[in-house]
Amino acid sequence: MSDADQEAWWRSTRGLAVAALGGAALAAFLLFVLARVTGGESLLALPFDYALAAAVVPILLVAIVFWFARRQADLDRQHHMGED
Amino acid sequence: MLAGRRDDGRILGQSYAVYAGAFALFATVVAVIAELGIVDRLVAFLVIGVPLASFAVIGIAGRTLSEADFLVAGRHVPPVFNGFVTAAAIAGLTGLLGPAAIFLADPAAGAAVALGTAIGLALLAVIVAPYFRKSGAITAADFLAIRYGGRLVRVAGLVVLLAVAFPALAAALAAAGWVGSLTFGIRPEIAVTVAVAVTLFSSLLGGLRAVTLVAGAEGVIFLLALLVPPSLAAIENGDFPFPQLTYGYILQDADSFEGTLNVLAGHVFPQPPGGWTWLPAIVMTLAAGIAVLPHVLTRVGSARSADGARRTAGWALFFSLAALLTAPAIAAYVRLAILRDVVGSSLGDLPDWIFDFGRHGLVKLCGVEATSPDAVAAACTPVIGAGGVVGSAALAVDPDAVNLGFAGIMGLPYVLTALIAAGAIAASLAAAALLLATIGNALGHDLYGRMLNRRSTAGRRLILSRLLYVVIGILAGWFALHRGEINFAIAAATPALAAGALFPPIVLGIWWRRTTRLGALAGMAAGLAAVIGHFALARHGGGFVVGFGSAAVPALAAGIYGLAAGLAATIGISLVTPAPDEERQVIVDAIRRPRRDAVLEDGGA
Repeated sequence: MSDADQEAWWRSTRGLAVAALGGAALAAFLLFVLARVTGGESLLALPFDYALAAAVVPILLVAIVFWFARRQADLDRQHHMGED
Repeated sequence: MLAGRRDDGRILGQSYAVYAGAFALFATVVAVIAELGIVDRLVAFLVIGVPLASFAVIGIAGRTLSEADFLVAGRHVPPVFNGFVTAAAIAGLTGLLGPAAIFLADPAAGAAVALGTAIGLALLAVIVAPYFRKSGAITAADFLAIRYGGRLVRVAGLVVLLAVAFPALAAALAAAGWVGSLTFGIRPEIAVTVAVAVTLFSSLLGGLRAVTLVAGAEGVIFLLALLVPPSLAAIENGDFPFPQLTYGYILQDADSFEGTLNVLAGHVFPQPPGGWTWLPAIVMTLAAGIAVLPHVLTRVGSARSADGARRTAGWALFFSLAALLTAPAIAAYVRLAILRDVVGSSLGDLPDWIFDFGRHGLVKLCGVEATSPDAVAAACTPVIGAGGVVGSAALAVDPDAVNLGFAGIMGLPYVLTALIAAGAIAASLAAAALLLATIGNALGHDLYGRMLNRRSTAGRRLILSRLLYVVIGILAGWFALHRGEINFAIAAATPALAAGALFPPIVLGIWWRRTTRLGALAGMAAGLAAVIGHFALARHGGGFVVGFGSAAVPALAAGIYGLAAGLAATIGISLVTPAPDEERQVIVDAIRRPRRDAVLEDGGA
């Protein structure tokens, strides 16, 4: 593989990592803004912002990590970077 | 098992499902027999002793003469199973006790801990795990030496690894000993000795291979202890059997009773003297610290591939959610039970658990330890009168008692108290064995095999590693016994130390090609010094800008100082020193690429 190919693969990899972590951060931020806007709203009888921090965002992160793992594996295959 | 076959994951899943079923059946039989009137201590002996014996047997069965099996479990561990045992080891740092204790003391702090842990494992999956695995490193120190080259980096990495992992090992043994001592009423010396012995049995002959197989069984016991009692309490209470979803309503019920719940300082998981503050700093410290915890990296290094390492972290996050979502439910039920059943009771109607835990300093009434009804009556009668009722202000509960005492507080059978103790001990031992393997392999492989005697044979290195396991295990046991409280305090700072001293050189070493050897060394030194400096100043009543040196900043939040100092030093020194040479650039590229690279086969400097 040429240096240019490798550079292209690394740029995509970096972009995917930024998208995964940035997307998670943005989603969490928007949810917390929503919690502030809705004021005293609750989720399953818990204060909305507390429920977001203690449960919703962690569950969201699980989904993002598995989405990321699948996308990264696809990316590695497309660029012939697979491990086998 | 762990033979590198494609169906290892299925075989492991089936084996541990059978183990879980057999243990559940055994515990049920013990519960039925207990109803016939056998003493509590025998119930505890059976429910805790049988799993402990099984851990030792599995550890011996997992013996190996292969160095690859001993150091990295042959790099054959399937992602789901690897994630499961990683989650057990993370939970084990504080036994079963930490999260529920924090949720009881301060629900907002509990939410911060859950969020920080989840972000840390997500960071591990995305920016650390696959690259650590690809490097072929055995330990965190090994990774730093491969990335940056040079003996000094390896030595510095070893110092940091020992500073982070050894107090955590001693604390995990102390936690297991404390729970055993409390449950059986035996001397702490005996309980800690048993914990050291089981840890050695589960690691000595098979290294990380045996530790991995034993951790599967420990994880099963931990999960059963975590999930079954709260569900049974919910059923008993007439609630939905998954209180993880409904504890908000339980908290509403608790709020309908008058009074607040006072918490004590805590034994295993110390509560900050000024209460839980600095919540964003707690999230940042846990996120950065958990992503680079040395024993978690050891686990990641045993994955089959870079992709397997990524998925390992994902599954670790998935299984950690079980603990993070159940802990607040446990705390909610305890809060409800105390405010409903204890506050407002007359002195003569206090439940037995008050005195069971009071005898161990975990419950105070009217300012004295509730060691007996007479002691409580003597202290409370002048305050509330002979026929008065206990107000919430008179009662204080140690948060460590929340989980251990859950079954008793909820009026559930004693067999569940024994099950919870078994789970707490199992989680602590899972962490202890992994920490022992991490430290032993770092000294045997990184120090001896890579620095002192590079021409040593695999057989000699294995013998030395086993000797080191014994020495470190005994030393950690001694510290657990004689410096228990200090170990717990330092162990609470483990994420902060890792965030300060390891996060900058590891993460920047992967993602910023310009990071230099001197930058990494400066980052490690600055990060470690900032965290230790903060604690030293806090201990002597210091306090400067943004809380640095202030005792009001909890240990779990102190990583922000190390992170800031470590990142600033790594970046600053890297920018003013010559860029890494061609050889290092090639290694950085090889660490980033998932496919096999000859350049990493030798294991670096």
